[in-house]
Amino acid sequence: MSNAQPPQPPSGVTGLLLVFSITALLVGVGFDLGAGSRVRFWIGDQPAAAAAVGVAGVLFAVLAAHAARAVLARRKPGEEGSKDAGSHT
Amino acid sequence: MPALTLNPGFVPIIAALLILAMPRTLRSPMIVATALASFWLLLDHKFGAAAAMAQMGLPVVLLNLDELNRIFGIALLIALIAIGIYSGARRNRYEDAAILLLAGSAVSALFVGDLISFVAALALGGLAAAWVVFASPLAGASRAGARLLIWQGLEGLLFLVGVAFHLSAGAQASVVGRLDVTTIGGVFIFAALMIRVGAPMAHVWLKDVVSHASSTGAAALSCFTTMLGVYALARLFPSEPLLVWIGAGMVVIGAFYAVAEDDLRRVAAYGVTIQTGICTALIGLGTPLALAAAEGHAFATILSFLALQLMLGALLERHGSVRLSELAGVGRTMPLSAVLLVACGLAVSATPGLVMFASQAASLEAAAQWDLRWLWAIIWVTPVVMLVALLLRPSLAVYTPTGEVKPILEAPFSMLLGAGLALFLCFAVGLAPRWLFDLMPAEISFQPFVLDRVTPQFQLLGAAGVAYLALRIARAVPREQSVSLLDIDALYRGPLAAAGRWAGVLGLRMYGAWQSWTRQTSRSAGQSLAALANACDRPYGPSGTAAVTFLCIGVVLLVMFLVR
Repeated sequence: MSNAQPPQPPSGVTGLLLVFSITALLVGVGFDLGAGSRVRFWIGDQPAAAAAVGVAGVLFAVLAAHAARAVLARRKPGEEGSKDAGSHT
Repeated sequence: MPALTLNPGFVPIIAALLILAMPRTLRSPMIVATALASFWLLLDHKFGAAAAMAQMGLPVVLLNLDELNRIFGIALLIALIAIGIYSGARRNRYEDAAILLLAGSAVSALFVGDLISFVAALALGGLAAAWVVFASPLAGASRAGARLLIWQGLEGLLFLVGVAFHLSAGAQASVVGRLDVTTIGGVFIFAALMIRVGAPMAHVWLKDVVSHASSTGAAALSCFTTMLGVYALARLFPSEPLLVWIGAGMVVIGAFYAVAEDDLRRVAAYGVTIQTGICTALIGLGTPLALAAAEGHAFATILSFLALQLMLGALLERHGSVRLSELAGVGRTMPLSAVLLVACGLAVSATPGLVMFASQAASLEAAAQWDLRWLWAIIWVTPVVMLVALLLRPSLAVYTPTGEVKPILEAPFSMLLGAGLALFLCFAVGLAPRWLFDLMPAEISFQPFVLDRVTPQFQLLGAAGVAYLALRIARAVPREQSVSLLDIDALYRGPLAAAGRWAGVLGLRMYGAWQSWTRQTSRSAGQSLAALANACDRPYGPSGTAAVTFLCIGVVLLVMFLVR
């Protein structure tokens, strides 16, 4: 029996969110690269630095979610409710 | 005769008593009317302190209005109006009264001009917050309310001790200025405020009560509790360097949990912790721009998270759960609510055009003035965490199709209206942020809508969205599961509680053993005395005990007499 994680159920809004995100990214990077007259004294002021920070932030979020689920998760809500740690079921 | 000074916060407190006797149809209009009356009182007064009254030898200043408390007061009263509209669909007079009492005590605490009244208003607010949780119909609410009472009691105790030390050191109670954290009074007050804002180790109470409160109560608790701590820090501990580290810790801890939690109301509570952390760190920086940014960010947090909590409450009311793992199909059964939820996600993610973007831009500008690149980077990354936790994950969850065909069952109209009003204000203030900046104590010539600020934000959010969706398609993102994450409260509700129970049992057993020993000792002593008395009654008995005793006592008395 395989222990592989079952696939995430497809969401109808994935494509729409992707389009919005790509549009925002292109607009931001385009204007950033177009306006090249700023004084750049550190890496955060380089063109497209914000995009790199965004990707780094997402990597942090995903890794933190994996770590938190692996270390701190309790997967028995019924038991949790009996100990009054749950929220609402 | 002294002139009557009516603090704007007293109106909701009085209304809280009246609303208990009101029919259901009048309660929601009553809350809105109360908020409007308080608003009128707030805007009617001029800046300055009212005359002090003497109570038990201490000066009491019931009203002290300035730019700092005005901006917080406006935000809290706007929140009360939205909550009043939202609460029209409920039937819980006790919760209505508790929310009014909570709002009234929070607004009163903002506008009082002495430390004693401030502590009293905070304590009343703590009781009212616990009442809000107790009034919730959800499972486990009573225990969560009891836990909140413990936290609030500890905070009140620390505050009271701190104020007592502060006054005993010769300070004036009616002069509320900057306190020194190196004095003993300052330390206690600082510790109390750390509980209030939800500093690391004390951050758990907010997610605990928000996830157990009712749909309306969670929004009220989200607005009227921690932000009062931000106000008090800005008033009492501006430019305190320790706050920078504490605020950064709050951001990191909140982000760690927000991206992994399954319960959306807990995620939102961690989101409030993140934003409160940013406010706290900015207060620690202490420059005029940083303080103004902290106040603006608190204002934006109140509005944005009010809208989000109200929307989540509407989902909870109709769908029965706000766990991400159980939200599939909601986009079809509650289409309007789902769209509003996505808009709330945009609001808390600091999307350009919404209020959080304006305050975020001001915060970044304030942090950039110092040589604290790490703090600047933390503030910059925060919208990414919010985007993932409160926009992308909920959107993907609610629009996940299910095989079942269910009828459309939208949230009640009053709930949608209240949440919609809060969201509208997020857009309105976000598009015209000059209105917000003009309310701030410091003169700010800050423009958020310039290309150098808008384009990086678009890049940040766009790249984060693309990266997250790509990782999700590649199955690198954790699957949404019904999990609860252990936090620091698991320590004091688990091992520490067990240790306390064990210590209690041990103490009871030791007490029982002590009682048993004293009982046996007294019984044997009584028996000896009884035997002696019996022997005295029969001095010429066969055993001759009494004669020996009399002889011994006589020898002792003779020795004492001779020695003397």
